[in-house]
Amino acid sequence: MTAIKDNQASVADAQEWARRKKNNVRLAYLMGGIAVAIFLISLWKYRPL
Amino acid sequence: MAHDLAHDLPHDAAHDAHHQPGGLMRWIQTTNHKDIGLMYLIFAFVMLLTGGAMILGVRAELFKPGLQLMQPEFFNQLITLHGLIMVFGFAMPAATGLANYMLPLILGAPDMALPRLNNWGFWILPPAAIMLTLPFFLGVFGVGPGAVDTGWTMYAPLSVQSGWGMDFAIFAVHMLGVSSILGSINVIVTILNMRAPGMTLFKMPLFAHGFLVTAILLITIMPVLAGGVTMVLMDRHFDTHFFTAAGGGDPVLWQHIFWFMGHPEVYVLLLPICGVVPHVLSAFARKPVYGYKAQVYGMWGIGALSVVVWAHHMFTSGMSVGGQLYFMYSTMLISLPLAVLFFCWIATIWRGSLSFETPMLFAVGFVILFGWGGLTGLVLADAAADPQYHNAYFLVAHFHYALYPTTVMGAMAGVYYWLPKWTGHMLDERLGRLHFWVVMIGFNLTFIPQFLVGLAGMPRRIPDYPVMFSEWNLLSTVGAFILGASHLIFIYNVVKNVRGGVKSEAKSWEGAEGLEWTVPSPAPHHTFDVQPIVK
Repeated sequence: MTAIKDNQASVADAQEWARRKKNNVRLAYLMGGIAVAIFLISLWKYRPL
Repeated sequence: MAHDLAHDLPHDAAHDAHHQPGGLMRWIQTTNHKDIGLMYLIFAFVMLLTGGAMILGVRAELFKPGLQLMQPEFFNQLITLHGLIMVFGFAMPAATGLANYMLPLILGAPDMALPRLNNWGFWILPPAAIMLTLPFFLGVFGVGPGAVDTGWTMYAPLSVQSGWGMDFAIFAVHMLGVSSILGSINVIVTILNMRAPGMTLFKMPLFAHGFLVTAILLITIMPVLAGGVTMVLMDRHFDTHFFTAAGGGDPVLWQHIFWFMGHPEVYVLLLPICGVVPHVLSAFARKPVYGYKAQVYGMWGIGALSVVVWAHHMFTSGMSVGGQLYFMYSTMLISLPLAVLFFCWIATIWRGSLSFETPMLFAVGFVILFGWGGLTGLVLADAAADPQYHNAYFLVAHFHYALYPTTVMGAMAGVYYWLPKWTGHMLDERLGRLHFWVVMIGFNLTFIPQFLVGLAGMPRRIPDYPVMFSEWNLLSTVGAFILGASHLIFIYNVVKNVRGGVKSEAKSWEGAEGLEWTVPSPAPHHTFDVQPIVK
């Protein structure tokens, strides 16, 4: 916490955000996939026999 | 598709400022985290007033014994909608609103990771709210059977047999669940992938840790509820028998599914505030947060334990002794990481240079009142004692002591704390303090009597009661209306703050720490186009 306030050094960051964007989408699909999988498993587990 | 989800940042973000549509379209199309956060917060507050107005109707009916204002069926609709609206319509969107507005500012990011997904997540909410409440308003005008009337727990088989208000509620829950999952995905991706260089997970402010645990919990539990309400829908319309005993189903299965979501949901509402409150306590004690790592581990501990204790809500439904013992002890175990958080909060302000501005009042109020909620929860976690209290007003008072200080007072602490950063004006302290004390009086006057009538045996969810409970119920109703009126003070204070006031500096509070206080007040439309570096 205390380290946060000290430094406001600036860097050109457009490339940095572009690099991260790709990872953002991958991670989002992974999280969405997990949510859909849990939904389907919860239905499948208790399906009528 | 990938391109749609990941709005170009900050390149496109810079465009937004120049090509922003005006009027309503600005708000419909916006991908800016502050705009979306603001919409979430306003939506949540409107729902708070809606759900609050409904429960004032309930309290008016309970003002004295004897049916006076409404029929029992209408009473049931009011308490059901109050619960669903407050949990899914107010508390969860309010937390998402705070996350949206503050996470990029706190993490040193230009925006949320997935701004278009963010926009979509919000705009699912208004139709969902309409879907949830429409049958109620139609019913008021004599059209249809009215809203869902099963209680917010939607227990089977009542939910399988209930009128078509239940179908509307099922679809509303689906939409609200999708919205919260989209919001959670955004929070997780933003926290894991958008932090300023140098901000490791253990340098990240506690605010972000609270929301990270919350988002992971939501992605774990909301799909299970979606699965459960889908089963109810199929039982209602497609002749399945998940929950109908006559067809070989099991009504208790619904309770397990619901509470697998419902109990962690309590922590979904609590953990964001566990992230907010240390910021406020630290700022107004003018001391660093005490036990940073202990608080982080405490929040993760609470999150992990919260998904394995759900059946303590079902002690009165019948359970093996072994099951009762497991769920009793595991539930009590949660009090350990919670106690760690309490200890750290108290140690943060211990021997600090304290001042009690409005955010601090609400934060301390949260700690005290939520402590009561936690302690009374231990009583209910006891499998032997629980049947005495479970379906009585004691339980109602307990969970309101757990949830109101969290979702309203904790959120108010955060809103008052960061309001100068949002509007650029310092708030009216006199009105803020008035708001706090009216809340304290109204809240305690409402719910202390409910502990007492609950201990004396007054059951919950009834529109009428024996004369012996009259006095306490009268006081509780008076308290509820005072509590309701307190929100008018909040509205007036916020409107006044938006319209003007003493200009706030970048650092609005003397003891405040964090990246958000390094940018001007109000924060610019795009906050960190140039990344800060944290050492």
